[in-house]
Amino acid sequence: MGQLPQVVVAGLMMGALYALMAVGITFIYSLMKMINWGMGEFYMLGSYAQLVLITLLLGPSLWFLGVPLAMVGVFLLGLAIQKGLLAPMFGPEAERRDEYATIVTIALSVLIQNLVTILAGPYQWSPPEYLPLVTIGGISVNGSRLAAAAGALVILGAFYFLVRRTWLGLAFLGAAQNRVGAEVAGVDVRRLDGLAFGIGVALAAAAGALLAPVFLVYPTNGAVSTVKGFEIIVIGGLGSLTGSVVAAFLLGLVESFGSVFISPAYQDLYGFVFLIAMLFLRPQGLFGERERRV
Amino acid sequence: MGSVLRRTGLIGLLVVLVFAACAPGGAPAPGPQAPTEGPPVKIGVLTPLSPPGDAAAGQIIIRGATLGAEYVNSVLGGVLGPKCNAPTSKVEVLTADDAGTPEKGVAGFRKLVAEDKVVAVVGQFHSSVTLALAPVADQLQVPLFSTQSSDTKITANHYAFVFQTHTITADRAAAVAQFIKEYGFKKVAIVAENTDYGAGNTDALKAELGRVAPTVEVRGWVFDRQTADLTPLLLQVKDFGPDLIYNLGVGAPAYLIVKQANDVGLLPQTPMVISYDVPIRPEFWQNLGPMGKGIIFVAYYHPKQPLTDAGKWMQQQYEAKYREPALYSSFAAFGNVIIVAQAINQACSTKGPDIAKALETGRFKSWNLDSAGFPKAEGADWHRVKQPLLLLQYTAVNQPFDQATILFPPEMKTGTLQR
Repeated sequence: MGQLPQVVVAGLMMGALYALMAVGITFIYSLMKMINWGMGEFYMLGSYAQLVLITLLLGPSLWFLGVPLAMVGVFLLGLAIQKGLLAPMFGPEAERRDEYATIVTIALSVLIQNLVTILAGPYQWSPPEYLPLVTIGGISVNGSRLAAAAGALVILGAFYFLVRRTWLGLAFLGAAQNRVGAEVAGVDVRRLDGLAFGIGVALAAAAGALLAPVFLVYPTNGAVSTVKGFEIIVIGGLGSLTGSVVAAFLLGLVESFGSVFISPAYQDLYGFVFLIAMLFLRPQGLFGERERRV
Repeated sequence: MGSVLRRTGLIGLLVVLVFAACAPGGAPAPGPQAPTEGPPVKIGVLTPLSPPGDAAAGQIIIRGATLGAEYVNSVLGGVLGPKCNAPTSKVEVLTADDAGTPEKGVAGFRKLVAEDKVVAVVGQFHSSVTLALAPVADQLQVPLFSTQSSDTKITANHYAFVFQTHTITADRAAAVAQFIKEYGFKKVAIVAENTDYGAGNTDALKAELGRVAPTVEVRGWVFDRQTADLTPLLLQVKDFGPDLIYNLGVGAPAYLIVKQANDVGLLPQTPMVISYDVPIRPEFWQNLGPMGKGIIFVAYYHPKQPLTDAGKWMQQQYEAKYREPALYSSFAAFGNVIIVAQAINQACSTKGPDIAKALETGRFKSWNLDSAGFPKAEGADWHRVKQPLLLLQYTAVNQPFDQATILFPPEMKTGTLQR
């Protein structure tokens, strides 16, 4: 019981990082109405970009510059992928968009994972720690984890500002609410799709870059975070950005408490139990709305 | 015009053929002196080359197996040949990825045997995969070598076509238990991944400690191999207050346990033993930096130990080719390939049952043993060569592997435990 504050802090810090992944998935889903199954690979690319940047170019002291640079790199890659592989599914002749998106993003995920294994090798790497161990109120906290959680909150804040306080953000919200309506109002939704995909994968890359010294860098390090991201968006309510953030923190806490007070052997199971309970009690998720279709 | 050209061309071709036949070193005349080379004999290397398997180990294993084939072809002169009244064949290694998962391992094994027609398979690293492959090896009658997987059941189940050249769980447990007893540790925390390796080693160490040091308090924690955040688990370990932590993670989890034990304040105060030789890899110090100082680890090879002439050949070739010292995984795979080649020569056959029989009855040169054998012995000693096992400690940051202090076995000790 003496470990309670440390458990809460660990859960909240993980929650902040889960939130980045989940918001990225939700954002892409809201605009493009598709699930990006390759999200974990963009997380992984972010972690590799950060590793290269701070070990070869910037140096450990400038790790905080590595994160935005990794995000920009992955954003540009996301734009290119969206334009080359995903934009055709919105063409007039395209049918079965969901299946198309699923197949393309799963194939993309396998391709990226294998390319990275070939290019960078299968080894596990870790960039230097961002900050030394810090003690807050008698609780010892890993400096890199703290820096990563703080970085995640800053990025989520910037994302909130972009979506709620800029014209571009309003265009995103409009297109998410009614794609045809936004198009009629003169919004170029095809262009927004590209930007949304780029921003979504850049958020995943940010999580990867921030967590690089904590959870290591290797070709499949994104697999678990993708699963968590999908758990969160269902718990929070598909398409709800607020729901994603709240559910991410809840999942972090559930895992942390379950591990300490039940058994750490089933840490990844607690999230699924939480998810199933949520589907029973509130199938539309915490902030989702029931949908009626005729 | 066309017919003239055709005729001239035919005459030219005839002239060339006559000259070629008369010229020294021309086309060889068929006869008993002609060099005879049989088709290559293929040996499969089925090993983890992608996660969740320890793919770094797989790469090192492939290096060793490839050098093993080079040794067989260049030093031993290939396999079969006049002694067997057969053409001499070269050995070729074919690789396949088991990704550290039983299902991919079984698929890879079947492909190597059915499509590639390999005569034996080496390179096994993860116990879960080897245990899944063992009945398949018996069914297909193809010898399978456990290059670096250690579960006791691999040999204890007495599979007819499975051969063990690596330290088994029981040996590891005995060594670690002796080490715990000798250095007077009283409270041991075992942190193990949820695999055959983790579970098997946890049970074996508990049983061994119960036998040799019953007063030692032992508690085990199991985590899912895919879990990256082990902080909650390590907080429980901290609550237990151990004076030694036994790290039974493989690949990324082995590093994560060290890093996160440091985060929660368990390291550097509490000594940690890593259950295998991951600290000898080049990335160890980059990943852990000062956290690596004081780490104790199980190793199966030390650069100062004696090697056979084959082992010395391998060590030199490896350093020349890869510009780094050879590691145990490479030595082990190298040893497996040259043992298979010698067994083929002793059996004068590339058929699985014949090779297996030769392995059971013959003696073979390996990288560190001049006379290794795989008899049908009792219990877990079935089909296995016993290997030495060491416990080393890094006493300085960035310390080279060959300068690590040998803490165990007592007769090889080069220093004392630094706490």
